[in-house]
Amino acid sequence: MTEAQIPFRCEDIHVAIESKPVVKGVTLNIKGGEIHALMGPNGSGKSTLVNALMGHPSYSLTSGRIFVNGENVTEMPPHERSRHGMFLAFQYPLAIPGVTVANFLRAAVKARVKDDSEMKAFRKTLLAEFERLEIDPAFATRYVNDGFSGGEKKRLEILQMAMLKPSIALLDETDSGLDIDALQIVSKGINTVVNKDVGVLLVTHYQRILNFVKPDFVHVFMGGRIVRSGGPEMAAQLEKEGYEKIEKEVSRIAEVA
Amino acid sequence: MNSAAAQTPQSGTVHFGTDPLWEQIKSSHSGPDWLLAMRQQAFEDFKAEELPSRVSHLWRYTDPALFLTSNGLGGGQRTKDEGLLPTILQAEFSSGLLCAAASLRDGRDMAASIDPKLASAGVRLIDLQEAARTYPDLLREHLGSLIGADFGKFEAYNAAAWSSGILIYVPRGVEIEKPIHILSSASGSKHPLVQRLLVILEGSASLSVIDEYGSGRSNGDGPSHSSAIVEMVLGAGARLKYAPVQNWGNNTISYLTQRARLDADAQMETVMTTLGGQVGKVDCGAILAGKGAESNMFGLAIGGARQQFDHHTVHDHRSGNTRSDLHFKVALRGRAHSAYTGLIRIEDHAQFCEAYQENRNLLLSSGAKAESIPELEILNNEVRCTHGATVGKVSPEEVFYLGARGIDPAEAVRLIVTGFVEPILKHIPDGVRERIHGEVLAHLGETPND
Repeated sequence: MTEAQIPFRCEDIHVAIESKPVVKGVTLNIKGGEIHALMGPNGSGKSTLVNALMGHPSYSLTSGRIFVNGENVTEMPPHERSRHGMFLAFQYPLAIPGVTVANFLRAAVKARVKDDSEMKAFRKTLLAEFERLEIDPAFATRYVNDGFSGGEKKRLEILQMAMLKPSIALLDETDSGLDIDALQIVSKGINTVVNKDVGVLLVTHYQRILNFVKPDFVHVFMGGRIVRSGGPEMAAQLEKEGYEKIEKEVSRIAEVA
Repeated sequence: MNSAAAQTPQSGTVHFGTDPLWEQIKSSHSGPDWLLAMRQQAFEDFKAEELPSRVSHLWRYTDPALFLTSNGLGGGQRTKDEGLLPTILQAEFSSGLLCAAASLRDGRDMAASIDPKLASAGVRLIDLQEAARTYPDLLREHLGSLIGADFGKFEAYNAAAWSSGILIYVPRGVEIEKPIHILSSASGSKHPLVQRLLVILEGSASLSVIDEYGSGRSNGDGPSHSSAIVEMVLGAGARLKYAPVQNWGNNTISYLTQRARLDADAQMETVMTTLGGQVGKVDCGAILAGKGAESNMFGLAIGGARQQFDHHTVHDHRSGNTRSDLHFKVALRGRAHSAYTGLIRIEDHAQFCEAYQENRNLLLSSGAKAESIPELEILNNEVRCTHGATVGKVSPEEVFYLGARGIDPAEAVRLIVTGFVEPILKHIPDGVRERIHGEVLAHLGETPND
């Protein structure tokens, strides 16, 4: 696979919030069709990492480089990163009162097409995605996330992902706040949208979603670093033993070092 | 030469409160003698009344001296297009969007078209001075009944000096679906416009009125001053939608005072839009006089540059089981300034009322400023009442969310602001909404620090 074909690569990412280091050197390679789970306890910096990768204004990237399809996007503002193929599904999607889902998605799609003639199929594509993801088309006329339930917000994130067709999807705790039914629906949506061209970084605290969205790799994230990487079996092990065991091992290694 | 410029009789020498103004009022008066007597009384009130103090209620935010003018009265000269509707109204009327259209230009006689079926059903859309001759009993009962010369100095001025006006009358039980659109405009910038609108809906009648002032901020300067008084009387079970749009040019100082009185079970929806002018003051209110009456007000003010807005709303619950709701939104760019005061008053005997009020202000530049002051006078405990006010900016989090979807920051702000105004604009009557929407977006789309 050539460099340009690798949807996502980041090297030695360091992130600070108000000059306090939170992410301390993260390197990831995510190929098309691969699902990487990033698991870690609360406060470990998982959300900070994915938000910083997308270019959140409050988080400063103190060092490291980000590549999407081989292109260096490190210096780009969020909207340019998005247009180059990055997508972030938010843990807490924001409401935009007064802006309908259809108009919001129209603006987002329009921002990445070369000329307006490509917008002709927009409505048809949108309706097709509603059908594919089994979402009520009445969603289109509702205001973005305004009065949405937790499950509806997450489904709308997945719908946006389907419409924007990213190369790399960063899913930030897409499972949080969902009951089991909603989790299954959202997971089904992720599986429907993800194909061999898309890489996924699925951030989660719990193993639960990984029963429905099967990861190829699992990374354990603690204290701003990936401390373990392994196959899908590691998720089950984590669920059984908790993060504490790894935490102890890691601190032992740190002492030895 | 335009008509207003042609009539500059005593420039620099005419001041309100001096007799030359009264001479002007008398010579432009074309109504019956009882109306002239009413004007004279109002003129004396105007002269006797002191200019409001800057610390008195409703005058803390705008200097009352701004509303004085030394330019005398406009009007008088007729132009050759007198009697014709402006193109925009003619187009709306011809394409069937409206049931009637009327224009007041330069504070003179009106031009109007009305669906003949309505005219034969007894609906009237006529010049107010003519109405004073034709329907003296109706006018003596209602003209000045809600906003008389005792209301305030500037209302007294209007009651004395109004040079043009419209009566809309809808008989009992006549329900009209399509709106009436009134457009007031000025072709010159030297004179004030002084106007009145009186709307009378008999029991169970229904009507929508779009009351538009000015033909766009880009179209010339507008008059120096605009003084407008709007009185609306709703009989039992009547329904009225009222949409005032202030769209004067950049130099106009405008003052609109509006009151509606609702009898039992009457319903009123007010949608006010303020876009234009240098200084815009609005005092808009509904008196819920009969049991079961309901008023819903929606307001939107969009300011830029150094525009200064001062809005006051009143929901006066004088009867029990009445309901009011208000949503007022303000978006400001540049160094624009807005003050909003909203009064909810519930009388002691008016039990089981509901009253809600919400004011949201969005500041789009660091130089913009908004103030919000709720005023509650609730004299009994058997009520449900809430109020809320916010002043905020577009948050970086919101811009980031849209950015993560490929939308650049400028477009993100535009989208967020469009969403902010949309819930208000959607209440403007069909057919006119699209154009107002366009005006609002154009105003918002100008450079942020303009």
